[in-house]
Amino acid sequence: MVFFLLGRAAGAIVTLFCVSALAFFATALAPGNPAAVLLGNMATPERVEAVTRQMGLDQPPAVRYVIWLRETLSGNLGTSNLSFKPVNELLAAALPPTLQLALTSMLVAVIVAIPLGLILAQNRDRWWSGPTSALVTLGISVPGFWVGLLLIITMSVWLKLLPSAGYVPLSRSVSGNLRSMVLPVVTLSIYLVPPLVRFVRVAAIEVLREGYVDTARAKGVRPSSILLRHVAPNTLITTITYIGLQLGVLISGAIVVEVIFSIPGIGRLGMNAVLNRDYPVVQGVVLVTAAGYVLVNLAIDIAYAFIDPRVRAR
Amino acid sequence: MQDRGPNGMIMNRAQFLRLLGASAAATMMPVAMGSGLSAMAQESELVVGISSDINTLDPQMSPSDVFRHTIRSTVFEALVYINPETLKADPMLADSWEIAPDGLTATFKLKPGVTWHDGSPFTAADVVYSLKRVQDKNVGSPFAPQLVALSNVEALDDHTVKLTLANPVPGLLTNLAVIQIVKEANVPQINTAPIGTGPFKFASWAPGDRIRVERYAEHRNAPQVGAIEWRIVPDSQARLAGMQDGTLHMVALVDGKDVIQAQGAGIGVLQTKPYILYENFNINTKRAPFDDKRVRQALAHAFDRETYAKTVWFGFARPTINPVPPEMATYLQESATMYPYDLDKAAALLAEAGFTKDNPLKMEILTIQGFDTLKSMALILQDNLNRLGHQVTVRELEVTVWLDRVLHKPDYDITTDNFNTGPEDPASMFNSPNLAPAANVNQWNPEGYADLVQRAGAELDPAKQIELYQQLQKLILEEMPQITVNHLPLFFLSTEGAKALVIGPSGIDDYTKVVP
Repeated sequence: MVFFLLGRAAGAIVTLFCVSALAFFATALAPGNPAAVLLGNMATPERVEAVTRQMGLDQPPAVRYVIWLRETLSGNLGTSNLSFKPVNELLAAALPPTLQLALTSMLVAVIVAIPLGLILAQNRDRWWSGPTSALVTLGISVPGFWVGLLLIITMSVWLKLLPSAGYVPLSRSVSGNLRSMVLPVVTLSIYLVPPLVRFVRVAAIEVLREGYVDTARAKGVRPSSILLRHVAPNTLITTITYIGLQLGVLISGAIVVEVIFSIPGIGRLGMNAVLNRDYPVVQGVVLVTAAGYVLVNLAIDIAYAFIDPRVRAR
Repeated sequence: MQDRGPNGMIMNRAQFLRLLGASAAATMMPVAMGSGLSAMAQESELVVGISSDINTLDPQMSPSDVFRHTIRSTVFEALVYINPETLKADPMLADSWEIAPDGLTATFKLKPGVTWHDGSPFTAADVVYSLKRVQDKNVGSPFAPQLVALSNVEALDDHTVKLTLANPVPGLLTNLAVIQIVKEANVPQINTAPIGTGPFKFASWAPGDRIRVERYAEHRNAPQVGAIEWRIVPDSQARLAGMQDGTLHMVALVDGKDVIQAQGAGIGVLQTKPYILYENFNINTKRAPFDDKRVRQALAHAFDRETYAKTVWFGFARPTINPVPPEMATYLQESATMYPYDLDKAAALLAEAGFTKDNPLKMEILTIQGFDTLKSMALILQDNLNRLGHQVTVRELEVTVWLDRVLHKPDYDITTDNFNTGPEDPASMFNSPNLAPAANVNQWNPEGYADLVQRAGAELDPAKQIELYQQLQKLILEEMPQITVNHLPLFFLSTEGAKALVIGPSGIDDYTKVVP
């Protein structure tokens, strides 16, 4: 296990290095100059040049990357070109909302989707199974931002139950924080639930065809016990892999949800930074997102070991 | 073999699954607690929705920020304030002023007893420093053109400032109204912790999220509200919903389609005079074939301003071909009937310039992401010209790329744009980045134009001044370096109490009377 973890950690570092380099050179290739954004349309070319130099952008990208790497390895992600705030500080402020949003949504999605998928698999021959599956497919095709707006109109404007936008930090008010997160979490979960339900259903149907399920049935084990004791654990491995793969969907979905519900998270920070060519912030966001990706996948590998005794034995 | 869990405890599969169940219960909690009353914004706090963030807190910079009025209207003050009703200067940091008969010197008496937010007294030295900073080429302030004629500024005593001008500037007060006074000692920290003399002091800026200012109780005109918080709400539907559920008290600068929707939902709309902005096409007159004025005139005939105002702006826009609004004394009356929408005329002018179906005009119209009406403008012109058999494409650019291609390279054919009219002073329009002889977006500066702008700006006799400005209008309408499309008011959505906001013509607003 120790060797396994060390191997994965080494892999993670290589991944982060590659991702940061890719992001760095991709943004360097994009047209647009942050000095021009800062100075606006009345700036003289000399002034733009001076600020470009001040930002260090007159150096070739390779040199800039090495400087950035050196600073980053010492724990300093630089300063925003526009707001002049340290990138560390901006990331620290933007991470909690995004983490809360993403993790809660994923949890809600898992809690809703796994039982639903299992029930649909168990009852695949009942008359209501078909229409329910069709409804789930419909859920896959509905754009998340539209669901978000519908939720705002019904829950905030008509029923006045929940705030339409904004994020309340946990430190300021626990109930305010929870209330501000309900609609965003529901919206983001709706991104995740339908594909997950479909996936669990298919995986569970596979398992239901296994010999040991027939054996259990022949022994006279109740159908609900078969589902919980035999089918559910055996679908978990593939399901967890799938959840790991869904992380990309989760991150892109979080950006849309952050925009609609005005949540000051990583997604919006990154989007604004890209639009304004705020390179240090773009790099910081890419690094944090990639690190999140790597960590989650590592966690999933470790989770295998917990869930499947066979993996542990190896 | 057992494995170690994350905190070193031994956990088996059953425990792991139970843990999963427990977290499930935890996530259900917010739903249960979600019922109850909506979180109203705190009393005595004005919450304003804006669609994008500002880029800098420095009031002498903030060039391309759509919402720069936030900080500039609250934390800082200028010498004078342009009253939107009279379009005349009211006292602000200056109590009174005297302009010499020859127009070459102006003496300002400053308000006594004014203090900076850190408690230190405001003096004439601050004014001298601020004006010189705007003029400093190394600072590169976008407001430098306002002070181009200022040759010297000196403090006569602690409360008197004398300005010396190279030539008379009839619009001097208007120019000074947009130059905010900053404190020299604060300038190194102005990007993170600005200090001003305004009715609100800066509290915090969380980039991408919110900007907050709080009442400065020692201000001579202390505001009604305890604080203003601008929240960045990028989605226009979410901004409307915020007005409806009480999360927001005001939404700054909204589109025509949002105004219609807000009116339908019973949300109050604040509207300025109908000519604060104009929308236009800028033309790169240095690039062939747009160096031929017949091509530019043809484009003006090929755009249906009336239909655009009706369909895209729902009638809120006032179509015009003349950037000068009829409300100004200098307005050229005959421009009202010039350049009607006429595709035959457009085709004929293009044919004269050598462009027909067989030799189509190929051009690209640029437009900036996030400005939906400007994009519609580009699409309408594209459609009309393509119907004549030409090959027009539209390209939507991020603002950074647009700035680079239009202003810094310049590498473009035509672009959509909008611009402040500067209605309080006839000179400001012809010194704007769109039309200034020294440098303008259109790359246009024909023989004699700079001289005419200079003479009109320095003319003190009103009748002669009108005559000169009408000559200028004739010139730009004949030459068509840019195609003006309409005049527009600014729209704010607001609650009853917030309607006390006074929206100034040049982006300096008065928030002191506002209540949430």
